[in-house]
Amino acid sequence: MTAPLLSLRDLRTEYRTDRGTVQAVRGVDLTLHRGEILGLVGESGSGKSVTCMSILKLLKRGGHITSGTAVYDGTDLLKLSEAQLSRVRGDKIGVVFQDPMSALNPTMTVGRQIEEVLLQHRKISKKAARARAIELFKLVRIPSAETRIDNYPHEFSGGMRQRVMIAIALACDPDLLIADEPTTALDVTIQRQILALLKELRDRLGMAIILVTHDLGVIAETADRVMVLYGGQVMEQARVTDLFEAPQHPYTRGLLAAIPDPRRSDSALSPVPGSPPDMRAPPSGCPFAPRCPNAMAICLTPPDLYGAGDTPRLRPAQYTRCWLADPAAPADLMEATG
Amino acid sequence: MTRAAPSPEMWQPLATNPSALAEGPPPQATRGFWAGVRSRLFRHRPAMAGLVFIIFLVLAAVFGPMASPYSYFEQNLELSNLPPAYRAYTVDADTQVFVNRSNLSLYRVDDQGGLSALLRPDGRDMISRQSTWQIGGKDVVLDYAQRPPVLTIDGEVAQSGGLSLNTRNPFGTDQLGRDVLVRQMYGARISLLVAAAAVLTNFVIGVIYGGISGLLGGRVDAVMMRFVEIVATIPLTLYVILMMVVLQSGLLSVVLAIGTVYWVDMARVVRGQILTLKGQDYVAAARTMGASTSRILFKHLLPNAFGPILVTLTMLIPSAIFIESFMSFIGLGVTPPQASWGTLTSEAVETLRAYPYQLLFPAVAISLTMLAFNFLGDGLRDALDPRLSS
Amino acid sequence: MNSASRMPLAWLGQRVLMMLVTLLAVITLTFALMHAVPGGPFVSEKMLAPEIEAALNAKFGLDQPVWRQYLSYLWGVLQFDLGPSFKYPGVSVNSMIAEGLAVTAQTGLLAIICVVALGVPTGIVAALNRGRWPDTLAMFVASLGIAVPSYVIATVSLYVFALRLGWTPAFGLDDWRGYILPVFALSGFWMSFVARLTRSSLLETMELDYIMTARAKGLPARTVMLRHGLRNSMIPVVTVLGPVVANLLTGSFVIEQIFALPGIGRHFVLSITNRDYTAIMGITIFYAAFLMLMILIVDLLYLWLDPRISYGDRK
Repeated sequence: MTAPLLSLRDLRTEYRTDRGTVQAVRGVDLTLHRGEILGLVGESGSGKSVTCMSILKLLKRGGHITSGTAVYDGTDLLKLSEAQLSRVRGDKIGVVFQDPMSALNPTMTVGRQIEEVLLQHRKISKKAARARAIELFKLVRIPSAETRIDNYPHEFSGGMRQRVMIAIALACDPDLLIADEPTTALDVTIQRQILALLKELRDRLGMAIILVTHDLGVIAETADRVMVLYGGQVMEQARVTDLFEAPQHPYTRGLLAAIPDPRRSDSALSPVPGSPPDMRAPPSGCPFAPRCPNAMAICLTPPDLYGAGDTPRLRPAQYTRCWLADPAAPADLMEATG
Repeated sequence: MTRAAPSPEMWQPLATNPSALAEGPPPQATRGFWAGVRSRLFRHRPAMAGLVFIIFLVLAAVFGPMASPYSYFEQNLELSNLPPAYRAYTVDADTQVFVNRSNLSLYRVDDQGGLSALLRPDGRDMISRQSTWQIGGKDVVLDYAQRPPVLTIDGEVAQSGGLSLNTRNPFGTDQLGRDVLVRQMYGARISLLVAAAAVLTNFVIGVIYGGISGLLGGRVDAVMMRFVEIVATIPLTLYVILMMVVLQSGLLSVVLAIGTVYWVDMARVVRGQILTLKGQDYVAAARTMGASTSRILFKHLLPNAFGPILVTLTMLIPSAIFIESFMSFIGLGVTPPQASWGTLTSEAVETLRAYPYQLLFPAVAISLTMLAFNFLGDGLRDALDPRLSS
Repeated sequence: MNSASRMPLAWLGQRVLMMLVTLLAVITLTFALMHAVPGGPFVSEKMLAPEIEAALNAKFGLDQPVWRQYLSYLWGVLQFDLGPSFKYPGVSVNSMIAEGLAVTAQTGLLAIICVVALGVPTGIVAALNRGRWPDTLAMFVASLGIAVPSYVIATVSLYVFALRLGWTPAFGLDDWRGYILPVFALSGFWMSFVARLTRSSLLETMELDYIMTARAKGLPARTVMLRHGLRNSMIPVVTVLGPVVANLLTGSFVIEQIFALPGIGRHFVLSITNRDYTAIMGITIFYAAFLMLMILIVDLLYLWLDPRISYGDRK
């Protein structure tokens, strides 16, 4: 196997607020290969957005990365200075944010907002930047690119604005695109178009994508591999088909059960009961234990991340952070919950 | 993964209610909104300092003039322009005098350290520019041919003692010999009175006007807001000045003038709040349940618009206080002998060259008061909108 | 879309019409107020012989019915004629304004320049150093500048710098140093206000999503702040520029009095103490017209700053 494009080890990120320190990410490991679409899924507050924004240190005020490494193409991004990091941002790694309404500068034409990133990272003329911006507009399928380029964000629809965001993120041909809930703020039909566009762009341009979402449907449609986050930790990770066919973690199962299934007549939604933990003082054991239908006495101690080597039930490249996957777990217990 | 194998009982389902496992901090009693506001306000140090000062000011304004032996209008031309602190000359064992070099007068220092009596010169020589006194058998001569004037006692140049406080008039006296301290406190009364009047009219007229405009909406709103727009085009100061021309100077006129024009901002704020809140579900719910317009206004909308109203009020108080003192300063406000910080300042400006310290008291008083209300307003705004606090 | 299409002539026409309506209201109001003063304009004067008062009344048209006086005054204003002064024979209100305008405009303009050129950068420096000593210092000074009334700043600085230290003249505008204190006293409040507003607006803007986008593009922190933060944070600052102009005008009443500057403000205050009603009316109307013009200019500036604003469709 070739070296991964990005590898996070033991990432920990905190937010200091006046009401206490929020431990948003608590030791996340992540490996991403070139050209791969990795989905990060979880409820709000699970740490998925903070994880991927920590890669580029794009944290809001109060956010600090307390430990970990993020090796991208051989360099640890977390050790770079702000100046060195800004040479990576927008150039090697592009970012698409959740709300295209607020993520674009309202007082600048979209063309300038694209040209700006080109002029920052490439030694090209303004004219060439503009030509490239038009080209990018065509790439993300914005109609009449030549005239629309001079418009302001408020003159675009939500879906079109997200295309503009994608064009900005792709301007310098990045190897990695971080898309933080790129479709959450959009209508369902627009969502599909944007997801299809992202997938198509990956196929054409070959960049890897980290796709953050709270919607497993988006993952099923788009991602190659998926990581389920909860309480700032990875609960389960697997190839997408494996996750949907053989979910191991009770939390994953809960999430899957919460997806409305039009094929079932009794399509009563069963959301995961309870609410996410207070990350200012997260549970000392498994963070999901307080909501887990299978909670055991042992769940008050933190479980490890188990792989296929630990238990035969796990598929290759599938990992779960649950005591049920411990080799020492009684077999009947596994039957009962599997 | 080199942990010891867990013991069998560890695999038993948890008997307790799983939610009891949530180990977060003890669930905070969800504090009411206002409790949160209060605690944030109490932690805002400048706001608290402002509040303490305002309380002190109110007490001084209400009780100060009663406790003072002087009244704000009582003149004593013999004891005019006396300083709050002075350096005395000792003439003999029981006579100390203070020399006012600006009006070339001598004052006797009484037992308590107050400047209580003017000593009339026994001789005055206009040619050689000297005044002479006979005090306790000694010749006291003030030679004002020299600059600054020199005091000699029995032919020797007198040496002044250390700085002592004028206990009779702690803030000194003004050019008509009135006690500055009591006039200051009287000025505080006027400022606070004006502030109270501004708050009252703002609250009543502004809230009702803005509330009606926002609530009824449509054409009524358009007309009412057009009117506000017209009024707001011209600075309020200008209106107040025009009103004062019509009403003639005086305290009542100032209060009336400020009252009639100062509600405009409040009307706008209230209307804006109402329009935002009107769209929210709970008002629609109240409406479908058949609540009357006035009930909706007073029961549902205003309590929720209270925060911005409060902030607007605290911002308007210093502005009203400022307007009054400004008007009084340029001679369009309260009339003498009434004392406002504005008239006190302008009186001090008249004697600025001779007695610059007279400017100190009204200037510091108005500045500290403005500062206190501004700090309180800032603190209140931050406390009401935690997003904004830094 | 360019800005021309966002500002159709219809909008401009409507605005001007609105201005005229407001001006008419102001004229009517001041006229009514001046005629509501108890007694005639010459009553407060020392005992005038009845025949002299009658002659004066006839001269100024005060013997006519009020509506006729109103119409003829309005007719005069329409022709930019604010009538004669009641108190100074042979002097027109127009000439009083013209005489004072140069002084008031000079100090006012310098004050606005101070407000923008010192207030905005102070706010930016404070925001850049949020929580550190330059921020604390700047905001402390700004708090003082907001709290201390302009007439106090004026008199105290007059005493310290002119009388005590002798660095500046105590009155008049004979050389450039004469401008320092009046302009400083005039602009002190708004400089402080704008510094605070700039700081808070910039800090608020810097928390917005598109700032994160700008950072994600790899722009240096300075570029993010200046190109993306500053322009947008200037929108509320521009909003207050209208009131700034208005308040510099009223501020000039007292500043011109303290420093003995022969500006419009001094004329205005003088005409009030003199009960020179035509002058009061005329100067008020001039102020109103001037202010409305300023507000129109601010609106146009707005249009240029914020492309989201469209004056074409009424919202």
